[in-house]
Amino acid sequence: MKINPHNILQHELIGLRTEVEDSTNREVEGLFGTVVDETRNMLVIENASGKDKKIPKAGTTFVFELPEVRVRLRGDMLVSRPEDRIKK
Amino acid sequence: MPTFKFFDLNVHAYPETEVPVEELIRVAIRYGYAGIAITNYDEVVKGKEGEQLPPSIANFAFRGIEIRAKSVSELKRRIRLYYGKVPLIVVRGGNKELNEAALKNPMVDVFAPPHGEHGKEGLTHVLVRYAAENDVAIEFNLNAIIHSRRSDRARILGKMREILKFVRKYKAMPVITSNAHSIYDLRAPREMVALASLFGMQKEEAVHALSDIPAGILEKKWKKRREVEII
Repeated sequence: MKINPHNILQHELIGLRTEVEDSTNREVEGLFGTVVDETRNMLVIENASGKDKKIPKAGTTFVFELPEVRVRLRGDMLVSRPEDRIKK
Repeated sequence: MPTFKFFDLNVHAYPETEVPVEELIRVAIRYGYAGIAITNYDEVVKGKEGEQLPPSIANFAFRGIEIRAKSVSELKRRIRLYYGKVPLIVVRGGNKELNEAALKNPMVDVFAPPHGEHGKEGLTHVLVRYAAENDVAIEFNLNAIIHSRRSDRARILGKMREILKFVRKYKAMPVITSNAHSIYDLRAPREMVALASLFGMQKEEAVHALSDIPAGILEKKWKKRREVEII
C-alpha cells in the first residue's frame, strides 16, 4: 500500500527523506537526510555529507516527505519496533 | 472565586430520559455552566448519532455518546463506529478486560469507572496509568454519592478516594460530572466542588476538573498531540 499520512505510523520509514524539526537535543535540530535504519528507539538518518546520525525518536518532532505531502509527527508515536508498530 | 467556564460532560436527556434538552440547558445556565454534553446511551440513539442539535442550543450543548458494552470486541466496534461522528465518547466501565480495552484506546474521551457496583471491578494503578498515557479522562460521578445510602455510599466514597490517589500519582485527568437523568440531578458548580471534597479532592483540583479539563477535552486539546499533521 502506498504511503500516506493516514498509514505512516504503520508504514516502513526506511528510505523516506526527513527533517528533524524539534528535539530535546538542540544539536540535531534542522538535520535533513534519508532514513537508512530504524530500531525501537532510534532512527538512523544519513545526512548530505553521507554521515549516519542516530536520532532518538522520543522527544523529537520529525517532518517526513511523502510522495505528495509533507507531514509533521511526534517521534513519541513511533517508539516501538518497526515490526510491532503495525499493531498500534 | 474568579470566573471559570464550567462544563458538565455527562448529562442524559430525551430520548433516553423524559427530560428535553432545552429544559436541562435552562437549568444549567441558571446554575452558571458554560456548556453541557448530552451523552445518551448509544443503543437509544442508534442511527441518529450524526444528528445535529438545534442551532439555538448548539453553542451550549455538545453531543456525546455513552457506550456500555458487554464484551471487548463489541466495545472496540462501537468506539470505531462513533469516532469522528460525535465530539465526545464516554465509555462506562465494567469488568477488568473491558476497562483495560477502554483506557488503552486513545479514541475514548472520558471513562466512567465503576464505583464498586456488584459484579464490576474498579480501577487499578495499571489502568490509571494507561488512562494518563492515552489522555483518557477519568470521571467522578457525583450522582453515585447522592443516590446511594449507608454502606453503599461509604463504599463508593472509598473507591473514589482510591481512584483519586492513582489519578494524582500518574497525573491522569479527572473530570467531575453530575450524570444527571433529570433537571433535579443537576448541581451548581459550587455544590459539585463541595461534594468532591467528600472524597478528598482539593478545591483547586475540583474547579480544574470542572472547568479547564472538560473544556480541553471538548476542543481535543490533548488528542491533537497524537495526530499526524499535514503541512
